[in-house]
Parts: sequence; structure tokens; C-alpha cells
Amino acid sequence: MIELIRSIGLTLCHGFVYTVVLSIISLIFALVVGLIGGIIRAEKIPFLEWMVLSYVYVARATPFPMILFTVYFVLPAFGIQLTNIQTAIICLVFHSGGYITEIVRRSIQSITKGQREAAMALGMNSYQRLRLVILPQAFRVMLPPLAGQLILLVKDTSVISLIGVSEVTRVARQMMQTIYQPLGILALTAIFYFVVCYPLGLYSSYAERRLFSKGFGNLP
Amino acid sequence: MPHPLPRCFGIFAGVRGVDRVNWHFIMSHLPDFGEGLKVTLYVSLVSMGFAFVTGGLAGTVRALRIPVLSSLSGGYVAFIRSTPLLVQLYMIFYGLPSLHIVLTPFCASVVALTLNSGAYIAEIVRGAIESIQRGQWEAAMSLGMNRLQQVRLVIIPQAARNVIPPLVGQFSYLIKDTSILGVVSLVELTQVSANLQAASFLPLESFIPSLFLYEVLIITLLVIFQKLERRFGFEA
Repeated sequence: MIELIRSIGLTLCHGFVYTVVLSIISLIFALVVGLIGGIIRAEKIPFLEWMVLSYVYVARATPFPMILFTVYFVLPAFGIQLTNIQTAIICLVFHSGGYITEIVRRSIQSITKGQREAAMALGMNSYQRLRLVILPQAFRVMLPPLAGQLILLVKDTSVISLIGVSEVTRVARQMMQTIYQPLGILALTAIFYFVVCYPLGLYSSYAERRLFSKGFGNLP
Repeated sequence: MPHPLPRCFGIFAGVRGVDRVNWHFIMSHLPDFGEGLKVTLYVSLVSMGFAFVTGGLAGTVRALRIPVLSSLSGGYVAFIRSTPLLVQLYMIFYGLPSLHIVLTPFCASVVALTLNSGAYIAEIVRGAIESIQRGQWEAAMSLGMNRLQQVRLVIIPQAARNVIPPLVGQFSYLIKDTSILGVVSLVELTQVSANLQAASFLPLESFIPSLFLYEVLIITLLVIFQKLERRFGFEA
């Protein structure tokens, strides 16, 4: 019995490496997308603002499996061949990027007007203002919701199993067909996710409480 | 076989691809998408009802710090929020039969969504109750109300106001979550598209109507959510 659990755990571990790596890569790209989008939205750059707004709405309104299937099936029909992992990353970035854009925008907007005016009074141009004054402060406000978003991202990677990327959920699903211990295998799988997501959740609420106590009143 | 473009799409006539869309296929399968939408909405509404009860109970129990129940509810919320819905769904649909509990796809979907959304709603409810100032409790106590009366007559009516906007937000998440139910062979909107795609090899035509329906549905909810939040939002 112990042997069985050990071998199941080890196999799941291999899948879990995929889950973690995919999450980290997607997070990095999604952060880039979100940062650019959020700054465009917060700085109200004319035409681009509307493009970002519609992107945010579409990204947030489309269920993740729907995005995944659409990219997986439709792009090849237009002659764009992607591997499963590329498809997965594109979809995760598209989906999370929308949410992170909103997080970034609200964090930037939560910085009081006085900071902006002070930066202007020092003769900074808008790039300096953003880089030296607004963003460093906004980053602290961003952290708790970003941790929350990362939890959602890690959980969304489970859906990737549907297009055949062998991350932990898919490995579990395959094992269920050879070893008939569905509940045990799935419980182990759940533990893997729990170990990553639960501490993140704790950190998120801890960081949020600390921000509140430091007087960032108007949180996003 | 050329298919005439509906007149309103004339502006796209020159765009590569768009004028090659098989509109006839979409038009003739509209009833299928309607069926899928019906299933999606039905599952969402039923699950939302149950989730509201589950989440309301779990959240209240936690906010009132009732001894054993409170930590049970805490464990439930932590587990659900830290594991993916897909794994929970597999557990219920493929795992429970080994304990001799066999559920139909529809039942399994409703149970999974109820448990999943229930945990998030529990947090919403808990937050709303805990945001009520202590003075309200003390005032109710000084009027000689017992614990139940305090909660029922003073706390819940005020907390309910704060619960409404995030509940609408949670409902939009729930609708999006239904899109995964195809894995337990429930034929909802996403699965309708996937099935049509598999049968016809017309991916664009299979997915566009579903995408469109989801966008309309969820953006409507998002807009309602924002309106409500502005109206009922927490006064900072």
C-alpha cells in the first residue's frame, strides 16, 4: 500500500513540475501584458485605452475552457500551427492578463493624487513620474491581489489537461484508468494543488491586512 | 459552395477569412446552441441557489465563531479555494462511485458547482457580517435581544446589502465555471461547440456562436455588477 502511494505520488510529481513551470512562465508573460495594459488604462492614453478596455472585457467574460478550445481548434484552421504547450501558455496569458490589467490599473489609481502632483512639481516627465513615484508605491498595493490571481492561474492550469498537456491533472486522469483507485489518486492530486495555493492565499490575506494597517485606505 | 454573407456583415466582405465563414452552418445549428445555452443557464441557476444556501450557512457559522462548526467551515473553504474545480469535479464524478455513490452528470455538476461556489460565497458572507460595526451588536444586546434575534433582526439585514454586488460577481464566475462540465459529459454550451467541431471540422463556425453568447451573458452581468457596486458599495 505504502509502495503504491509512493509510486503514485512520484508519477504525480512529474506532472506537477509541468503545472508549476507552466504557471510561472504564464505568470511572467501575463504580468508583462497586465503591466502594459494597466498603465495604458490608468494613464488614459487615448485610442489604446479603448483597445485595452475591450480586451479586458473579452478576457474576463470568456470562460477559460472556451478560450482554450477556440485557440486550439481555430488557429490551425487559419494555418497557424502551435504545440499544445504554446497554446496553453497563450491562453493562460490571455486570460490572466485581463485580470492583471485591472489589478494594475486599480493599484495605480489607488495612489493619491498628491503623489502625482508632487512628482510634477519636481519637474519629472510622465515616464519618470510613473517609474520613480507611482509604480514603486503601486507595487505594494498590487501584491495581495496578484497573489490571489496567481492562485487562480495555478488552478486554471488544470484545465490545460483537456488539450493533452501532461500536467498533474492529466497524469492523474491517466493513472485512474490503469490503477482503479480514483478517489485516492485525486486526493493526492488535490494535495499537490493545496500545497501551492493555500500558502499563497494565506500570504494574500496577510499582505492585505498589513497594507490596511499601514494606512493604504483606498485599496483596489 | 459559396454562402451568401448576411447583409450586416457587408463591412467585412473584403477581410480574409470572414467572407469564407460558413454562415449557413451557423444558422442551421442555432437551435443546438440554444439547447446548450439552456443547459448552461439551468445548471448555473440551480447551483447558484444551492450555493447560496451552503455559502450562507458556512459563512454565518464562521463569522459568528460557533465552536466546532466554525473550524469545519474554515477547512471546507480552504480546501475548495485551494484546489481546481476540475479536480473537485473528477472527485465527485469518478471518485465517489468507489464509495458506492453514483451521480448522473447533471447531479455531479450541480454538486461540484454548489460546493465550489459555496466556499466563495461563504467568504463573501463572512466578510459582510464581519464588516458590521461592533456598535450594532452592542446596541442589539442592550435592547435585550437574544443571539438569534441579534443576528436575524440587526446584523443580517445590514450585511445583506453588502453581499449583493459580490454575489452577482460570483454568479458570473459560476456561469464561466459551467463551461468545464463537458468533461463529465454534460452537454452545455461549450460542449455543444466542441461536439459540432468534432462532427463538422468547422472550428470557427462551431465556436463563434458560443463565444458570442458567453460574452453577451457575462458582460451583462459584469455591467450589472459594476452598477450595483457603485450603488451598494462599501463606504470607504
